[in-house]
Amino acid sequence: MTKILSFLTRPALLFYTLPWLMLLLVGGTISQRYIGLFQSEKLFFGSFILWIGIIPTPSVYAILVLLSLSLLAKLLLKSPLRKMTMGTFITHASVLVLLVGGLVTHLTREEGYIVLGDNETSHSISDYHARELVIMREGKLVKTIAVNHLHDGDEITLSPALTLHLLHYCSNCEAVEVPDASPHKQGVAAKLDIKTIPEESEDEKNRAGLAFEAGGNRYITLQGLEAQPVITQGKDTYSIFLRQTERILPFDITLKHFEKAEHPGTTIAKSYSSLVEVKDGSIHFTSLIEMNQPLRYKGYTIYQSSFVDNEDKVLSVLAIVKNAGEVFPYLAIACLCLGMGLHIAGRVKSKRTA
Amino acid sequence: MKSLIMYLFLCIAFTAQAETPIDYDVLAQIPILHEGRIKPLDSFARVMLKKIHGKASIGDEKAIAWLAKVVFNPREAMQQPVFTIKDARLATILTLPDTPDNLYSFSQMAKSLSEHEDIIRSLTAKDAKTLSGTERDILSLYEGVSYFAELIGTFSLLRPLDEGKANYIDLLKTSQKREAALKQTVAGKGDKINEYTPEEQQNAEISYRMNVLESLDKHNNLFRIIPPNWEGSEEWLAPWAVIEQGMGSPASSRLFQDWKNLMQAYTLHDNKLWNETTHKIRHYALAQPRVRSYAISLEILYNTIDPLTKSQIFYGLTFILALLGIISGSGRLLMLSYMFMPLAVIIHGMALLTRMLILMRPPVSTLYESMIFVSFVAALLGLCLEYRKQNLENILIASFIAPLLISAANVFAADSDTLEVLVAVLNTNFWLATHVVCITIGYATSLLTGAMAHIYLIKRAAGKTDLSTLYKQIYHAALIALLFTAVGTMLGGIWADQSWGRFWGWDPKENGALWIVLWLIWVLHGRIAGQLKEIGFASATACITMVVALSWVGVNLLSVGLHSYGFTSLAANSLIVFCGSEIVIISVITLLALRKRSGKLPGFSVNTI
Repeated sequence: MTKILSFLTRPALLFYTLPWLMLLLVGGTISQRYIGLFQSEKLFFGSFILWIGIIPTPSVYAILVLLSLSLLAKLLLKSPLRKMTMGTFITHASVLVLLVGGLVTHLTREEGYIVLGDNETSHSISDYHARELVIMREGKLVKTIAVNHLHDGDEITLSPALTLHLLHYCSNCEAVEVPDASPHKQGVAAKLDIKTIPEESEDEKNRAGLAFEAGGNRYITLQGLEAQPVITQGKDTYSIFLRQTERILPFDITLKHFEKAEHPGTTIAKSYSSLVEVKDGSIHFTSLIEMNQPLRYKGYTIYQSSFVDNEDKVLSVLAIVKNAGEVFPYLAIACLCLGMGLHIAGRVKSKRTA
Repeated sequence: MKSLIMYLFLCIAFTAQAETPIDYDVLAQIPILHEGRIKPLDSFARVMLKKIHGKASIGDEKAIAWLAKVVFNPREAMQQPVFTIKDARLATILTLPDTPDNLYSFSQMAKSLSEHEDIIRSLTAKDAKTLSGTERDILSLYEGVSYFAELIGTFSLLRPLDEGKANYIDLLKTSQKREAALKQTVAGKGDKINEYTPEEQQNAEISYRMNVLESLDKHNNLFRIIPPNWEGSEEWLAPWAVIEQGMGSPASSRLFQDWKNLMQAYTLHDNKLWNETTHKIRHYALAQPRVRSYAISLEILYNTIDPLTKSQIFYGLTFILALLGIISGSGRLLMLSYMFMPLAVIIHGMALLTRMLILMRPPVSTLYESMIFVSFVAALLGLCLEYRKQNLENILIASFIAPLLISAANVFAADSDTLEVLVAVLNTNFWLATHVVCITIGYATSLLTGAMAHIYLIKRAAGKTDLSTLYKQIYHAALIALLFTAVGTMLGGIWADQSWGRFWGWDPKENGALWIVLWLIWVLHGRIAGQLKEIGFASATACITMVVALSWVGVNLLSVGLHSYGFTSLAANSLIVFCGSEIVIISVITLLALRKRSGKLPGFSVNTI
């Protein structure tokens, strides 16, 4: 234990890990041009190990954990609280606060979006990345299954007489026309099939697809396709489709009015805002959400993210985030200013004394 | 003899009076709506000429004089060689003849581009990111030609269309009657024009001319000089757009008449009418709501004085005089350099202040603006340090960095300097004044720190050993640079949290800022812990200039992320040259310093800092 602590508090640890962290940062940044932010984040910034060929190397998470432990050990064991070193202590503590905030954010963060037209209401948000298979009976939700739990060959039993046999799932697919119109292919599957294609650099552009069999017939569902499989079994009608994972909000949100202002004579957006009404039981209130001015309610923060300009109407896109680590950066920046201010002031004072 | 002299004098006087040039000063002050902002016509003319010609003047001809020619006398303007094509390959692709000065007229360009319409069509269909430099240049030329075409059509609706001197607007009043008559004629006589009566022929000809004019110019909305005369709109319109959108009013009608008079005064060289009309139009336009007359005057002043170039000259003079003063030991030269430096900083500061007053926001929203702001901060800090230390190193560094950065701004982003309006997410003075100002101060202090480290290494390479003061100064400057870059980066994260709902998103620009912070942490901790000795510390600190350049400008090469600005191949090459030379310079001076190393620095050790 003593050896570990001694290793963690050694200044050389920072000196030799920081260049590697900087290299990862440069690599992860440049790679965004070629593989996109989502993949680059997974590869460099959101993993513990980066495989260079067959060689495992520490990735950003591993370095950050090591640096956090080193900082903690140093603060607890090698940083006596003295007037002269107070600035350094607080500065280092601020970095630790930031890193802890990052961890809390990573563990607790929920994010998604709502797309609303004027006078439309919603109480659920769609995830940016996660997708799910949805099974509805007579318009009512029966089951949702996260796509990472879907495996080719799995079976999903909906009733004693109806079982779905999963044939093929792909995280990014395209619809291809099938030459033979078999009577056993139902719905769009009679004309189309799904084909796996390489993932897009922007995850939001990927279209998940699933081919399955039920009652001896073959079906396909593909995100973004208008016609989705409908299966009738006895008196029940099931609809089955893939979508972005949805989360339920503890309140309803209604868009009263969306407004987009442009700089005169241009198409450059000057500002856009959404006037929303929040209904939470007996609590009703309206609020104006603008760029840089989100609405915060019940731990959720609602931002004006963007808008969709359809031909018939303009839709407001609101991003909704729940993050228990939200306060940490604010705390860290206050500590950093204080710490570095004290440190620099201390230097100036000691210089004058000298 | 006397009478001959008198005669010659009279001749000269008479000729001078006859050829009194038109005074464009008042025309330059007339407000126009362009790119979302009300600006003086002078700025509009400069932007247009820069797009077309690459410079804000054509020899001695000012931009405003050129603009007046284009809108009031298109026939002459169309023949003037003004389009610059420096790339010979481009001229070959567009089958343009060789010219000594690489200049082509609108007539030549329009003919060439219409012959190569297929190229333009295929290029406009391509993804802008995949375009080569030459392809971008072709599209840029096409854009310039389109702007020119719009400008020459601005007042086509005010020019006579028939022998009776009636213009499009006059003829529009009777167009319904004429169209009905023409329909009747065509129904009776078909298209046998020979059988038309003279009156019917005239009717047909006028209708034809009006249709041609409409098809050419009815979408013309570039020269937005007609203020809105209706409630709830901030949008000024060009003359054609007023007619097309049915926005005519007695006020706009009077303005049309004024511009028509102006066109007439220009054509006839009637200075009296010209002066009266320009004053009248300017007076009316300046009285419009949302027109800040002081901002218009300031912008004219800014355009005329060109304070950034002036400050650049004074910085350059400071550097040369200081250098010569150091070499020759002349106190007079040093005194002069001490006089020029504050002057350069004051002019530079006034330029920034003027831009702030014009735009009503902190002057740090575009790459160009951030560069001129960073150069100002670097110069100011250098001046303050020089005032305290009086060692000439700081004045040398500051007077070297500041003009270099202004030049870099001109190379990297001069095209984007149209004092532009901001997109929604940037349209917040609070975050621009905190995050952006803080991070740019961090860039400036980092560059100063890096430059000091260069000087330290050069002095060590020259065999000097008593450098403890400079060494301490580098350390303190690095600390301040770390403070500003770290706080600035975190403020950026908080802004992102406020705007997009996440503190950190691994965006290239965010990563770039973090890279600077990590580098400074690395060198400072390496020095404190003893891993980096004096020369190692100075050498690593000197490299911060490259880290800043790559983080600040280089990440834009990737053309990805939320902070992506436009970028040219010239800028990319400049960045490569800068980093390449820095690597060579730092390596050479470090190696020379290591060879000259002899013992510890007197009166200073690592542990005492």
